Amino acid sequence: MNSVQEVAILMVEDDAGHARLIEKNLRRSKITNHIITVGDGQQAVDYLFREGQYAGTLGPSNLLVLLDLNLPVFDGYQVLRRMKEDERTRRIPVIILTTTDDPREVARCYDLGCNVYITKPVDYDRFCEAIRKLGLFLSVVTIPKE
Amino acid sequence: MKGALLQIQAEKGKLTLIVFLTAASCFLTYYFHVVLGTGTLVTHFYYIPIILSCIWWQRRGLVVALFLAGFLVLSHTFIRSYAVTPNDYLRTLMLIVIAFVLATLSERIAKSEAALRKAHDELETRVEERTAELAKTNRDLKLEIEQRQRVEERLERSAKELEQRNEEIKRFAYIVSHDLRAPLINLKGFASELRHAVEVIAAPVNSTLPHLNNKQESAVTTAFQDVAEALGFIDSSVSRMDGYINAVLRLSRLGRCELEFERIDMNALVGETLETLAHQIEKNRIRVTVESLPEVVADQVSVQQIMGNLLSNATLYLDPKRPGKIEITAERGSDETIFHVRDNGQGIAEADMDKVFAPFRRASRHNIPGEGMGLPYAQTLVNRHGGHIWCESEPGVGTTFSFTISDHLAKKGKEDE
Repeated sequence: MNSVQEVAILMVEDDAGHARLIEKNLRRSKITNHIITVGDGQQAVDYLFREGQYAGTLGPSNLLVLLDLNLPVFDGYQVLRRMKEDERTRRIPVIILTTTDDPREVARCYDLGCNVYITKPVDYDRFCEAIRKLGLFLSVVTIPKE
Repeated sequence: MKGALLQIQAEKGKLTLIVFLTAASCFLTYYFHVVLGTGTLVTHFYYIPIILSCIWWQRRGLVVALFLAGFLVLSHTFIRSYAVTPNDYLRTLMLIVIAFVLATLSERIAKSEAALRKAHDELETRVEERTAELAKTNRDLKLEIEQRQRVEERLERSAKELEQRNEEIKRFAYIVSHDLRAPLINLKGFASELRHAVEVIAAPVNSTLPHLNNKQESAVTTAFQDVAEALGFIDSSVSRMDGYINAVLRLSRLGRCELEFERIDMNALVGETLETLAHQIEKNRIRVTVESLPEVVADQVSVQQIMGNLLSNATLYLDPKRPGKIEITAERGSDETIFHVRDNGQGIAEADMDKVFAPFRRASRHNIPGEGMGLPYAQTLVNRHGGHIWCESEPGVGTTFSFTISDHLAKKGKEDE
């Protein structure tokens, strides 16, 4: 990603174990960006719009979002919709990273405007591999500047 | 009541008439014979009451007639001027004969009328009875129809409920197995992280081992061995759990699968299946004989899976004491085709027979890999083909697995569950 240090990665994942494994494997793929992890949809929205616990603080200038769909409070679809409806957050690249591979869900996410959809492999080895490939992919992605 | 009264009145009327006629004929006879001295014709007037009484009262009438005849004959003797001639006797005799004939005929007619009326009444009674019977049967039938309809409705509701329940269970199985896999990733992932971490620790620690005393050295070495062993168990358990969950997931998907029934060349199918097991067969030098198999109409994929499962088991559960032999035969039943897979392997103990088709249950010897889902899965598939699957076995001799495919499957039709 451009100006590697500048782009922060917001990971919205409710399973702490998965979050940690994703982070570790991203790091192993030489992703050094700052990673912020939030555990539910509400916190994600708060972070993105500088509300709730994040009110008054300054957010990162460039952001990329890794979004799981099965989240408590707000689910991933609602976060995605809110992001793409708001002028301020519309351009932030969203990568859906979730367990379901149902084609209807995939279509729905792309309809809502996600940039990429990745199905989390249920087999750990393939999971690791997928995250590492994601890391490689991220290293060549260009993020729009705020 | 009125009829009886009328009848008595009628009888009275008849009697009065007869008496009157008799009196009248007597008078007329007397008048004409005695007073006028002429007219024999008018003497025949007394025929009328005689004939009438015969017709009306049959045998009794006859008696009356005879009496009248006698009376009239007698009355003639009182008329001194009239001599009784043989003609008179003849006439009287003829009268009696006529009266007799009339009485008999009249009786017959009366009897016929009575019989007819009786028969008519009986018929009416019987018709009424039958009508009542029919009406009752009709009512009973209507009741039964209503009952049956109610039962049908109930059955329909039950069937719908069962369908819903089934759908729920399938969805539940899917969700559960899906959600159970998420933590599995963590288990595997962090076991792996642990292993890496230990490896990281091992390097510097191993280099310091020579500097430790014997007790410490052996303790550290044991600790590393313990870690490796623990991670090994964690790995194998996680793998097993993964296997079970996948098997349950597959079972839950079974219902959503569509079956396509078509003609299958069983010889070709079995040949292909044996090829996939070629490695195992060669390695263990198993002799396989296949009898000429008939065609069946069934779902190709399902039959492949059933056969594959049975043949795979046959190649796995060998008896080390003798060379393996597998026979595949088939026979036609009345409305089904029966397939047999016979082997001369270990056999199944009597005590284990009920576990054969139970999910996750394995035969006594656990040295053979597998999740124990193959046979229950095969059973579900066979059931969906209207057949059943069973096995016969003798420990130390061998096992025969048999399954049937019903003839009554829709040809070239899809079956939705």
